[in-house]
Amino acid sequence: MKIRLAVEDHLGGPRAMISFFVKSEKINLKLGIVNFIVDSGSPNTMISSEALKPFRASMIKIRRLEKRKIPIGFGGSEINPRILDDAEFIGLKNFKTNFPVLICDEENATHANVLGVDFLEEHNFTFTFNPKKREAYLEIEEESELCSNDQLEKNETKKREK
Amino acid sequence: MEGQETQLLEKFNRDREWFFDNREVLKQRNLIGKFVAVSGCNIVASNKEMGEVVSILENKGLEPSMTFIEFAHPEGSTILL
Repeated sequence: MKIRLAVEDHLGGPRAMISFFVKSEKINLKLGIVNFIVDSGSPNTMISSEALKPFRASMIKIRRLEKRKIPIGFGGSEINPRILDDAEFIGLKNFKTNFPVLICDEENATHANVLGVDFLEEHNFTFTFNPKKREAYLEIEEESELCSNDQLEKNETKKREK
Repeated sequence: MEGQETQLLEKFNRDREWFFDNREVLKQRNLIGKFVAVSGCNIVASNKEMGEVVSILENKGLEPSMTFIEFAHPEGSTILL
């Protein structure tokens, strides 16, 4: 499966982007669309709490989420994001997955939502980005963990072994 | 994904494309430094506060959670993520 990404000039240069429906029971997020920058330089996937405001997600519940123990550098500042472990992503081509994301609720942080390497790794995505041609893709082999329980079990075993 | 959800996502993507293709319009309308909501390839709300943009959309009967909203950064803004 090959998912074509948008390439738009944003925050200083061409960025590959993809949008997903996101929902989470933990923060009363029923269903909303989030636009992500696909960033192979970011180890983590993160959503800005600003992006969640239109969804009427419970800010009280967001502030109750556990904070990541070790701060991370993001957009030039150091932040302590929160962990949302029940986020569900739904995209085009019947893509659907549960995936834990970080929520950045610090006021002076960059308003950017990032789809990081953890997401690509978990779903066995190959990220292709040619900024000159303004082409970007996420590719996944059909026999991947998205459609094969055997593969999913193998991956879980490997993780436990690590 | 249901057909309606697919349509919503495709509409959202068209509005995103419009936003990034129309920086000049944003500049002309003094929207740099503000959150801007786009629906049907039209600017339907803007404000420095995201909460205000959400209120404007609700007053117009638009669904904020399905509307493309982005911060219009000043030209030349570069952020290393």
